[in-house]
Amino acid sequence: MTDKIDKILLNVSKPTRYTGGEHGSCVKDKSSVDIRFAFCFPDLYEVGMSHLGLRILYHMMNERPDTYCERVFLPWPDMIEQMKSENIPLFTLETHDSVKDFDILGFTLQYEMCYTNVLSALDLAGIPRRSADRGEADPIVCAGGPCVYNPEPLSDFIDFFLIGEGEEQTNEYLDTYKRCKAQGLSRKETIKEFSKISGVYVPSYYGQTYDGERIASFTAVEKGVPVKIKKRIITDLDNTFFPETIIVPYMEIVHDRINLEIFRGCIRGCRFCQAGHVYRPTRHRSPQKLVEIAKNLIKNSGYDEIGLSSLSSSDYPHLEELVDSLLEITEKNNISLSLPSLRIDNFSLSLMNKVQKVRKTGLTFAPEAGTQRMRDVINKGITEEEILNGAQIALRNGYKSIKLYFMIGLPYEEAEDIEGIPLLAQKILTKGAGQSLTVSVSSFVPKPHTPFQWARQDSLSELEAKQKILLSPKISRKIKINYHTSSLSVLEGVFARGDRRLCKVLERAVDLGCIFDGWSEYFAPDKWNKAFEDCDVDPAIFTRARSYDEILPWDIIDCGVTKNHLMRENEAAKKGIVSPNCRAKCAGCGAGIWKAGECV
Amino acid sequence: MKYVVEFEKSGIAKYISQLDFQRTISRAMRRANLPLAYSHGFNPHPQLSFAAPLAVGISSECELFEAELYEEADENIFSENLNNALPDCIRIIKVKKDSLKNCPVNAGVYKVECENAPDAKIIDIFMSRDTIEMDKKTKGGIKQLDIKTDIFGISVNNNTIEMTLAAGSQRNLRPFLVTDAIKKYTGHDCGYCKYHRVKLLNM
Repeated sequence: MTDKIDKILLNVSKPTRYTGGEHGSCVKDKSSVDIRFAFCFPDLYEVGMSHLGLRILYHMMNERPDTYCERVFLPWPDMIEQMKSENIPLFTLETHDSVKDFDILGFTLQYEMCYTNVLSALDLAGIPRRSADRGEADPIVCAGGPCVYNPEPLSDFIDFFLIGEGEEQTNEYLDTYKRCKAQGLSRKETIKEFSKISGVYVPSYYGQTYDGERIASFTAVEKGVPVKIKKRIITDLDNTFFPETIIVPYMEIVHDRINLEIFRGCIRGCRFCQAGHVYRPTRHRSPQKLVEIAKNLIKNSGYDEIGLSSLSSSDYPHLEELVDSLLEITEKNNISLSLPSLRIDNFSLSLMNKVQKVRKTGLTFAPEAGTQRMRDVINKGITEEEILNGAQIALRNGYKSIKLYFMIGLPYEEAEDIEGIPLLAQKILTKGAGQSLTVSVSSFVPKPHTPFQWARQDSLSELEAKQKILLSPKISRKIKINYHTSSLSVLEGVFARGDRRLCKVLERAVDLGCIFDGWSEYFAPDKWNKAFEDCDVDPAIFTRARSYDEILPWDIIDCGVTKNHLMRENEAAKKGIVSPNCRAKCAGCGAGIWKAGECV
Repeated sequence: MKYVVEFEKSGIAKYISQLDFQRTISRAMRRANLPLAYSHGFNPHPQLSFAAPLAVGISSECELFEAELYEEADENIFSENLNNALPDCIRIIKVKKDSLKNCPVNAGVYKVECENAPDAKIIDIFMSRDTIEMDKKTKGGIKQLDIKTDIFGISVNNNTIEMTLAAGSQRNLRPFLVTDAIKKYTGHDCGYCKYHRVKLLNM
C-alpha cells in the first residue's frame, strides 16, 4: 500500500473495498511473470466479488506460473473524487499498481447498465477509451460475460470480445499473448493472432452500413475472419477447473457464502429468458464432484454458509442425493445450506424442511405473469393450481412471508394480464390465509438470442400506464406491490438490442457524468436523454419491433440456438402454445451440436 | 473454556471495521480447526468478545479478544494454527487460557506519527485549557463533549505524539479527535497522521 493511497482511504466509505490482502487472494512476484492481467468487474467490490465467474477465472489464471491475474473494481464516487484530486490512477487490489501498466485488461460484463462504468474505469486508468486511439504501451482490452452475446454497443471500446465460457479459451489466449510478446509482435499483430482463437470476436474487423433505422449490411473488412463467432462451452463440468480455495473478503459482500455451481444452462426454455438460451446445453456437475468441491471450500475458506447456484435448482436430477450428502458435512460443522431457485412443490418443501432446521425466512417464487394465457405465452410451464398449491404448502410449513416476482410489458400482453397479477396475489393470500405478500413487478426487457428478440419494447409512458393498471383491482392491504423505475428498463433495452450507433451516445453520457446507472442514487435519465439528443440518435430505433428478415446487431454471434428455433418459439408464443422442456422432448434448438449434457 | 488472545493489527488490517473483523476472526478460527463455541438460539453467533475495539484507521500491537471454545485446546497450538489461517496483517502474539474479566481495560496508549508534529509548547497550550469541547456525532445528532477528562496524558517526541486516552466500553476517546482538537484550539494542523495503539492499560 502506498502512502498516497493510504492517505485517502480514511476519507472514504468502506475502505476495505480497495485494500485487497484478503485470505485466499493471490500473492506473486510480479517480476517473475510474463503476463500481468487486470480483471475488472465494472461495479463495486461487494457486487463484483459475489460473481462466481470472476472467482473461477481469477484462480485459474493464477494457477499459471507465467500469469498474475489481479482484481479491479470500479471505486465508488467518493473514492473516485479522492483519487482524482490526488492523481491516483485506477489500481488493482493485489499490488496497487496502475492498471495502465498491465498487459491485458479484461472486463466481465454482467448487465448492460454497467457500460458507463466500463468507460469510467478506462478514464480513471488513463487508457484511451477507443480501441483505435490506444498505443503499444496501453493494455489490450478485452471483455466477456453474458452481455457480449450482443457486443455491438461497446464495439468501439473493446479490442476483442470473448464469447461463451472462459475456462478453456482463457488459457488459449494467454498462451497466444505470451508467444506474441516473446516474438515482439505489435498490438495490431497480437490482436490478429487472438482472432484465430475460436470464440474471439474482434469488432474492428467488421463494418456496418445502415438504411434508416435498420442495419443494411454487416460484413468483414479484414481478410480471413469468420462470418460468425461461435461461443465456447465446457462440455464436461466435472473435468474442468474449479478453485479449491476462494477469496474471503473482509467486508460483507452481496453473496457472502460459498457458491456451489450445480449446473449450467436450463432445460425450461422460458421465452423471455436470455440465460436459458445462451447457456445451452444444460450440463451438470456430479454430486460426487460437488461434495468434493464443497469440502475443499469449507476447509479453505471458513465460510459458514453454502448456497447452491443454478438457473433452476429443482431441475438438478440428483438434488436429493446432493442435499443429503452436503447435510452430512454442514450439520456437524455449524454451516447453513441455502437452496435458491426451487420450484415450490411438496418435494422442494420437504428438502427445504430438512435443510432449514432453524431459520424460516421468507420464500420467493416467480410466476412471472398474472394469467394462465400469459404464462403460456412466455412458456413458463406452471399452472395457477400449482402456484396456489405451492403457496399453501409454504404457508402450512411455517413460511410467514412470501415474495412473488412478475413482469409487465411482455409481448402479446393485454390489460387483463396485468390486472391478473394483483388478482393472483389475492387468490394466494385468500387460499393460503397468509400473513403478508410482497409482489415485485419489473418491466420486461427483450434480450438477444431469445424468442422475444424481435419484440417491440414498451415505451416509458406505456410502462407507466401499465403500472397504474396494477393498482386498479381491489385487493387486501396485506399485499404490497413494488415496481421499478421503468426508465432504467427502457435504457437497458436500448443497450441490450443496440448496435454500434450507441458507442458515441455512451461516450457522451459518460462525459455528461453518467456512472453507476444500476444504482438508483446515480441513475440520471435526464443526462441520458441529453446524450441521445446531442448525438442525434433516437433510442426508439432499438426498442422497436424487428422483422424476421432484418439483420440483427447480434447476428454475428452464434450461441448454438438457431434463429429458426427462436422464430418457431415466437410463433408458438403468439398462439399461447407451450413447448415441452428439453428433458421431456428435444425441440431441436441447435445446441445439440455440442453433444453435451442434456443433449446427449 | 475461555481463552484470551493477544494480537496485532498492521498494514491494511487497520481498515477493517470491528464487525468485519469479528467475522474475519471467526472464519479464521474455522479454517484453523479451532472449536469456537456458538451462542444458542435462533441466530447462533460465535462467542468472541473484544477488550477495546479499535476504530477504523488505527493499527495496533496490543489488542485483546476472548474466544470461547467448546473443546480444550493447547495454547501454543491455538496460536500457531490461528496465525497460519490469518492474513499477514493480523498476527497472534499470545494465547492464554483466561477470561477478559481478569484483564480489565480502561485506557489505551497511542503513538501518532504526524506529517507536521506540534512542538511541546503547543501541547502545553492545548492542555492548559480548562475544557476541550469537541463535537461528537451520536445517533441522536451532534453532541458537544468535553474530551479533556478522557486525555490521561499527552507528550510529543520528534514527529510523534504519544497520548494515553480513555478506551473501552465505559469511556472511549479516539485519537483522531485529539488531533482535530489540537487544530481547533491551537490552530496547529498535524497534517497526515498514522495512528497506532501500543498498549492497553487499566488505570
